[in-house]
Parts: sequence; structure tokens; C-alpha cells
Amino acid sequence: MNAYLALTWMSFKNRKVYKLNVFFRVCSSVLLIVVLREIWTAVYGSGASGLTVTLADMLTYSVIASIIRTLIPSDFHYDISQRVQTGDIVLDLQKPWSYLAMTFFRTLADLLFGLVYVVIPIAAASLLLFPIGVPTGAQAVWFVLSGLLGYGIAFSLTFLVGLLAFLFTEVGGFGMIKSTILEICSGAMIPLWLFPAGAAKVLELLPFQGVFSIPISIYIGKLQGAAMWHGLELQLIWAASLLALAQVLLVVFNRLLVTTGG
Amino acid sequence: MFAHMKIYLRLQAANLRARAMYPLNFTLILVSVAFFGMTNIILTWVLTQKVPIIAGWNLYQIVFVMSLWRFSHGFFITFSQQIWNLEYLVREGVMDRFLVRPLNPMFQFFAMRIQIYGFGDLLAGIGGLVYAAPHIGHWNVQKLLLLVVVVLSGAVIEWALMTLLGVSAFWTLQSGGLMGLLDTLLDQFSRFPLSVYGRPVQIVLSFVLPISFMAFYPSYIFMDGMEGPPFSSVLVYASPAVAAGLAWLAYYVWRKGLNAYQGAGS
Repeated sequence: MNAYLALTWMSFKNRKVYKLNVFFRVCSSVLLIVVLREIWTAVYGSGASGLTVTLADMLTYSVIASIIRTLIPSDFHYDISQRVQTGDIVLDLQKPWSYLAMTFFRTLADLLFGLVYVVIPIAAASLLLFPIGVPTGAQAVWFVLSGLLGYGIAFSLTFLVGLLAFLFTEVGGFGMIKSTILEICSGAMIPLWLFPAGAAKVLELLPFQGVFSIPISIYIGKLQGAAMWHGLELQLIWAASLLALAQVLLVVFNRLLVTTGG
Repeated sequence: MFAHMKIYLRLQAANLRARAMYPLNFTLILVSVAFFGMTNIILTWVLTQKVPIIAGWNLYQIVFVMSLWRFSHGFFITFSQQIWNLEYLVREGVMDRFLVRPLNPMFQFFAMRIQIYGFGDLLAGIGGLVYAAPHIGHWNVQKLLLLVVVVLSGAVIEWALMTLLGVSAFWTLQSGGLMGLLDTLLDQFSRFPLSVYGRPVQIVLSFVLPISFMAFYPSYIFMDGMEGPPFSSVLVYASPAVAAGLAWLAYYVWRKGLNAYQGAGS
């Protein structure tokens, strides 16, 4: 365990080299928040009936969605693909630890880094410029737990895309398809309750809502009591099954991997 | 001129052959770029099921504007995404090569490669336009010709703005961050027509960073029964002028940048 945490700490320190990058990440997030706030204000101004939640809740929803977006691991499949191309992947797989866990603890550094250097400035900015509600007590605890489960789901999805590199080497296309599906089906842009009833029913069975919709709904207090337990349960089931699937495919694909160098 | 075109076609034919080396990945990326480009159409459809008219715009009008932008953007990506590599080429000293050959350095730089994945954006753009166009107004030959002019102006505007930022690499050796910011801006603000946003945003996107001339203002030419655009209805026809002005500025700054370029020592 210590070795994994050391890896997290090492990657965390590496991240600090790219300061300018952080600045632009914060700028992009603030920009997204501004755009979403303006859009939702216009949408609510054009007819608020049938939109389920209040404008204030919807604006909070957008801010939290933009923050989650910068925190979830969404592009480390490029790193895996890169290492398959160069052959360095062999070195990772030979080491006496789990490749899945190693990748997880490495991306965890990104989460920590994002929390410290991206979320705090954005949260400060949004409290000053556009105040949002903040949950307290048990609700806050369940939100954090739900957010972490969502992180697990997002990690597994990206890892699965990365594993495809063992077979196809290049995975840019698969990654883009994953991002598109996540963008539409997770509630990242438009909450699931605004989808047509039939579509919403299907989306509520899929893992994608666990990344955005469930944690944010807990945050704004839309999911409470039994509905919240059901949401958390669903997240737990999906996170566990996707991680298990990743581990199984890792073993299978490992046998099929053909690469050069090392 | 003719010689330039011949060289350009030769180079791009070679590029295409190189790309065809990984046919599966090539096709997959093309399809996924097109799919990604249509995300906003799908999301807007979902939203207009609940709120049919947003700030005076219906589904087809919103889709028309965003697809017009995406179509221009597709041309930009295809023919000038190379600008993203400028900082790298400056740092590596590759620019030296362009300066000693007997052809315009800017032509050589952009002719180095076309980005075929831009075809995905073109596909998504044309798909959205075909979906929306019949529902927004009457079409005739003049309007179609105007559409061509508008699309090309849009591509030139994005090219000029990106070049203006990219050229900063000649002085600072890094321009990726700035261009990434403009890219995010274009991406986010092309989701909805400018009317949706507040006055400050409208002023910035019209007169400071005139990206609204890529699709928003000219879209009024093609839509019947719309109220005039913000500020002035003259702006509807201003895209070609904006494009020409920005292109001149971009070329001027590019020349300045080349003079400041010092090469990479080794």
C-alpha cells in the first residue's frame, strides 16, 4: 500500500511543474460556468414550467458539474496507448504490483492536484461572483461518497478504453466515442430529468449517470431518503462491476499483447 | 498561383497515403469526430422538448447556427490545424527550412499537412445544416451562393484569430495555452446563438473577439421572420469584411513574427 501512495505523491509533485497549464484549466472551467449560467438563465426565462427544479438549483447544478468535469480522469488512455506504442508498457506489467491499482493511484494524484489547484480557486470565484448553495451535515458526507463512487466509474471507463490499446495500439477514436456518450448520457450538460421519459428510464440504468447526475442531485438535495440510497447502491454496483471487468480484461488482453522495445 | 496549387495537391496526396496506413483508427476517428460534433444537436433537441423556444429561437434555428459554425470550423481544422504545431516547429528549429526555400514561408507552413479529421466536423456540420435548413426559410440559388461566402469567411475568421495567437510562439516559444483558451471559447459559445447571452458577453464576442461573425450574424440572412440581431442589422453582412480585415492583420503579425524568429541553436 505504501508503494502505491508513494506513487501518488510522486505523480503529484510531477504535476506541479506545469503551472501555466493549471492557469488555463481554471480559466476554461470558469468560462464553462459562465456559459452554462447564461444559457440556463435564458432557458428559464423562456418558460420555467416543466423544468422540475428552480433556477437557483439548476445554476448550482452547472457549477458542480463543471467542477466534477475538471476532476474526473478522462484522458489517461492516451498514456497507456503511448506506452504500448513505445513498448514501455512491458516495464509496467512486469513490476510486482497490480497494473490496475498502479494506474489508479497515479491518476489519484490528478484528483488531489485538481482539488488543491483548480477546485479551490473555482470555488472561491463562484462564492464571490455567483453564490451557490452548499450542503451541510449528512448530505455533504453522502455527496462526497457519491462523488468518489462516480470517480471510480469514470476511472474504470477510461481504463477500459486504455486497455483497448493492447489490441489496437491507437485508441484516440474509442476515447472520443466514450467522451461523447458520457457527455450526453451522464447529465453533465443536461440533467436526466429533462430527457423524454423513455430515454431517462434507460439512462437511469446505465453507469454514466453515476459520474455526474447522482452526485450532483444529492448535492442540490433532489435525491433524498430512499431514492438517494438507491442511487448510491447503483453507483456502487456499477463501480465494482466495471473495476472487476477491467481486471478480467487486463488479464485476457495481457496474453494478446504484442509490442516492441522495452 | 497554378504552381502553388500543384505543389499543394502533391503534398496532400502524399499526406493522405500516409494516413491510410492505419485504416481502422482512421475511420474510427472520422466517425467519432462527426458523432462528437453532433452532441450539441442531440442535447439541444432534448432541451427543446421541454422549452420549445429559447430566447426567441426554435430548435431548427439553433441547430442551423451551430452547424454553420461547425461547418466553417471543419474547413479551419482541415486546412489550418497546422497552426497548433507552430510552437513545436519553432522550438525544434524546423522553421529554418521554410525560410531558405524559394516559396512563401506561410504557404509552406500550412501546406505541410492537412488534418483529415476535420472531415468529421464537416460531416457533422453538413448533417446539421441539411437537417435544419428546410425549416428556417426559403432557399434559392443566391442564398446558397451567399452560404458559401459565409462559410469561407467563417473559416478565415477562425484561421486569422488562431494565427494571431499562434504567432506569439515566435516571441514566447509557447502558444498552446492561449490557443486552447480560444478553442474552449469557440466550443462553448457555439452551443447557442449570441442572443441567449447577456450584453457584456455580446459586446465581447462581437467587437473584441469577433467570433460571432463566423455564424451568428450571417445566419440572419437565411432565416425568415426573425427580429433583427443585437446592435445593428448591418452586422449581418459584415462577415466577409471582418474576415478580410483579420486576415490582413494575421498576415502582418506573421511577417513581424518571422522577423523576430531566431532559429534554434544546437
